[in-house]
Amino acid sequence: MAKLLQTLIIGVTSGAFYSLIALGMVLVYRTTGVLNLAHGGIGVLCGFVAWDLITLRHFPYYLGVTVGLAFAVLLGLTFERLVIRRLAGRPDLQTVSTLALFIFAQGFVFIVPWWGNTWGQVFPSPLVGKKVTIPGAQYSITYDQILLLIATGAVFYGLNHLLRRTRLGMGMRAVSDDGVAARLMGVQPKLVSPVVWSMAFALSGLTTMLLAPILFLDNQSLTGLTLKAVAVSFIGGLISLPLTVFGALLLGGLEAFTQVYQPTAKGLADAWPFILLVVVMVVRVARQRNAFEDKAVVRA
Amino acid sequence: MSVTELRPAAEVSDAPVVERIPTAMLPLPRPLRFRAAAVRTAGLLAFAYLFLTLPRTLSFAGPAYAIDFGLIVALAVLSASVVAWVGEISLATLAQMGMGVVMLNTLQNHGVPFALVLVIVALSSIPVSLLIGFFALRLRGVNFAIATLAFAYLAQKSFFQSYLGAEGGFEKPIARPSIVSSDTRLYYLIAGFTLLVAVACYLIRKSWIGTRIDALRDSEMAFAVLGHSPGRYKLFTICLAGMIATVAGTFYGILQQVVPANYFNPILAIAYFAYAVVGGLGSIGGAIAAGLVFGAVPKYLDAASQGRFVGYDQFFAGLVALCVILIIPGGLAEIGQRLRRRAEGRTR
Repeated sequence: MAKLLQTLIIGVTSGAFYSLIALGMVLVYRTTGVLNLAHGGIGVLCGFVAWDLITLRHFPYYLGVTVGLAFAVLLGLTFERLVIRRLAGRPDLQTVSTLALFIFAQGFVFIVPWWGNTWGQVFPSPLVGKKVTIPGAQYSITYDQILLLIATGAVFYGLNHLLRRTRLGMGMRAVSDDGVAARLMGVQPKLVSPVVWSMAFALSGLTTMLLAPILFLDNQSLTGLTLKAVAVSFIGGLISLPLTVFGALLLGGLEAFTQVYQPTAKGLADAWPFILLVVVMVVRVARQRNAFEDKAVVRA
Repeated sequence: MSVTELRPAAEVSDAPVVERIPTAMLPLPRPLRFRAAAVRTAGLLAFAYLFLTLPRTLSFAGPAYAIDFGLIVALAVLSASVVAWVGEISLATLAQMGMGVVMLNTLQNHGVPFALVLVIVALSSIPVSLLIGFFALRLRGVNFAIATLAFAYLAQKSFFQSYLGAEGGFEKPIARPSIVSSDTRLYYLIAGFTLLVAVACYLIRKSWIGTRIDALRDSEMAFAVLGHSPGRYKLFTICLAGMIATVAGTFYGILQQVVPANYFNPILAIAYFAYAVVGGLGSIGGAIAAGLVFGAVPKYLDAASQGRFVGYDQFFAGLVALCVILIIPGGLAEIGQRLRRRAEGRTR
């Protein structure tokens, strides 16, 4: 029983990693139709800025994190103004531009010599070393992990509320669905777009700053998580926030169970994103076919 | 009833048909025709000279290894660009290159002669390409890109890491066949293959297959309504791209001899796709040029700067890609076309 509980906790924590990254991607895709492939790269860059200020320049933790997030917002605004706005109406080129930004951000992290990015850096946290033991599981969970779980829940609730219940969120969705109709209804895309991109980049920075104290701050592992998060966001069709979180938790759980109960099955844990993707695709195709057949029956 | 009576009214107008043809497609005036022919001949001669002497011409800048690597990257970028013919993005290029390395090792262990290796490797890429193509039949755009990314991740983590390991885990390093014992000799093999592939791709683009692929990219529904099978053309294109990438992987194995699994990181596949965009998506010459720029130039700069340039390549690649997307969305291919038109004296 203790082993099962441990596995569940590990799975939920991993799921929270993927959720937080995937939610940022879904936010951008749902409101702009662009797959933000730069999500992981921007997060790592902002994480390194915060780490530089806190560790190397001895800024207070909260000030360093705030400056890191402000840098992310500024970067989002700049990217939107210089790149996204110029490529308006071309979501394919906008997606490719995020890809170029990803490479640029990764390269930038690599060329700053004192960031020593070839190995993982320890990101400071005021909660470091504090943990709580889960009764019955004989397993301790750190405060940083608890903070991550709370943050994931808050981001999920916040984004859901924003997109469904607020004028700003509905404006974002309206611009994405039909830009002309949205303009006729008084929504200004030029005001909505900077908000989306600055929010997405800030979320990306926040994700890295929450993940880095648990893992390490380095290019490879964090962008590796982003690749899995991309697969997770596919489960939600890049649109549904609840399905994305469900997919992330499912993936985290499957990976944890495979690692704990089938440690000899080499590579299976890493194969889960692909397997889930195939399953989702088959289910979608079957549903489309059923819907088509139902329509045919109704017409007949 | 005559043919003209069946046409829509808009088409049966008195306006001369020539007005509707873009100026660039009109035949050149006689003096410019000679100039264009001269420019093309000079271009072909320069290309032939460079093709035959490139390792020696660039020997002052660095070893032939750099140009070999550049050509391999060019083939990988061309593979990504070929998938773009059907309007899709594939991020599985590196995974298919990895399959090429593994196949090469397996065939060498079984003592297969090198002349047969390339043919078998090219054919062996078809099952993997069909698996990727299966996704292309059901998914489009971003969703297909995600599927190929997941496939690349699976291949790297589940297959290459256990097969190749961090150290390139073959029992013995890949042997170089005697005909390509030096990097310069290998250059001629890779360059010859690249030329062959480029010509084959060009001929496909110009044939009825290329026309149908263009039609498919423009409107899949209209293509299907006309009675063609979109799946067949998509699978053909993905298999062609897969063959190019897999053979590129084989060349990479021969060049490096020891290949660690890390090289087939899906993130690098994302970079290769960005290079294809810089070259001009779908363009053959642009893809090869971009591959050479992003593959060979950093290696020459590494050699010239005694290793101090290492790490800057990604930064500059990202910067160049961003600038190209913003300033010349058609990429290097568009620059090449503009230069050619200017040299030929065309106004547009």
